[in-house]
Amino acid sequence: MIAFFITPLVFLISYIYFNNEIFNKTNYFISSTGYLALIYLTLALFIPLLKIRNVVINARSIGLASFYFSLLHFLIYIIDNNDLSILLDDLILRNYILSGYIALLLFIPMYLTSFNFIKEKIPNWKKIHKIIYAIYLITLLHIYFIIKADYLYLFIFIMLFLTIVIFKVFLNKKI
Amino acid sequence: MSKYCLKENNVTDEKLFKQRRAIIKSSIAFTFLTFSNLLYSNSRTLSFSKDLKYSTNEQTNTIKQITSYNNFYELGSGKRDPMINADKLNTKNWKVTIDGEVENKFILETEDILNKFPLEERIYRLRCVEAWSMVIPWIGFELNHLIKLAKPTHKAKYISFESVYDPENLPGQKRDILAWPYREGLRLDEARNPLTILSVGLYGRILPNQNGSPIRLVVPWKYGFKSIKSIKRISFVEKMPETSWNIEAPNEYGFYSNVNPNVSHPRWSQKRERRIGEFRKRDTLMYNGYAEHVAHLYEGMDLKKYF
Repeated sequence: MIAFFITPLVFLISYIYFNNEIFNKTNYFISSTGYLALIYLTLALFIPLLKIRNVVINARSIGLASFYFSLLHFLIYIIDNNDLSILLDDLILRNYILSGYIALLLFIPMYLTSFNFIKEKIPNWKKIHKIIYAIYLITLLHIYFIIKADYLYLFIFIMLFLTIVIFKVFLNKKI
Repeated sequence: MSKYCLKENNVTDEKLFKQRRAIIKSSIAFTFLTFSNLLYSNSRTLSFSKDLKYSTNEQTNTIKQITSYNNFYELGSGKRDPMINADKLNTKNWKVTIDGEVENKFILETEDILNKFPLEERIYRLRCVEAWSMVIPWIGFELNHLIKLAKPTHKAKYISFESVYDPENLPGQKRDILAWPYREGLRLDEARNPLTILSVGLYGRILPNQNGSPIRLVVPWKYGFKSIKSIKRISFVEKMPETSWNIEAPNEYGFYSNVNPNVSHPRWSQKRERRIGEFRKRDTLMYNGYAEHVAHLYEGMDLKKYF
């Protein structure tokens, strides 16, 4: 939590606060927390491939950081708009907003089953965690809907996702 | 006395000797500062009159904000890319071709751009389709002056604008991000409206490259992407011209693209905007606050259909 969420968050906030050349600070904060969430989500998929057992660097802690950044990404958006009619309009009319809500909602069961006491009650929690692939795909859609014309970053994330999935299928024989 | 012995007056004073590093540093700094100063003053100042009729008296954005938060995809799609890549746009020996359905076809040479028409300062609001806005002190001339000189024939109904095409140097044009060269258009009566200007400068000096040097359109009641930068060609045409963003996403960017808080956009709610430098969003005004000058152009039109 501290290593993967608090530390980069403190860096990000001070960077945005002290940098006089970021002129749309709120938008910068929203998009950078979104990208951080996606980068962590990519890492959470990638780390198990390395087959290392580490108390700090593991899929769970990185996945949690991804969830916290998505939640923050969502909260800043809500606070910035601060008007129910505009928020509802966005949800109904804009695909990228709807896909963002869906991805975040799907994240909640993963978050809950990350606690040990809930894992004990739900022995099948690993199956629930397959949702990560759906979350990833919907997040890619979320980005696709907001991009105006330059799809380079989206293309990079699609390639990363495909590479990880192919590795998992061929090396582990299971996802 | 041996020739290897220095006389007392040839020895560098110890005080000075101990400051040698600081002296070198300051002389380098001096050279650098003089040079950067020269570069800055190289961007020519312009002589112009101040307009009071159409200019807003709102607080203008700083030169730093105006020159480092830009959408100019030819120079990269990030907001700071146009500033970083500004020197990739070569504006030397710039020529603007005026052609199409006109009696008088001509070419504007570099010097004509700044001298042929009376320059005035117009302080306009600029509203980007991405829901942010600025207030910018443009220097330019009414497009109408150029139209009068070209003398459009009865066939001319629209004006088509074409921007620079130079994929060898412009980083954004190395990939097919948009339909290059960037194209925009106006209906002839929109182009003749006194609010419509061709801008050649801002804050009293010639336009920085990232703002569309050496000559760009400014149509303050339309979303920013209509105000095409670095114009190479102005053609008077009979049919509604194709525009780059309309080709990219026809359901999002219409030909008119008038600022309208009541017409929803698939990406951004257009009800509010963030003025760059401000924290809270503010309400977006119909025709970006220029309704008294332009509303008559669209009387009887369904603005939801002709967005």
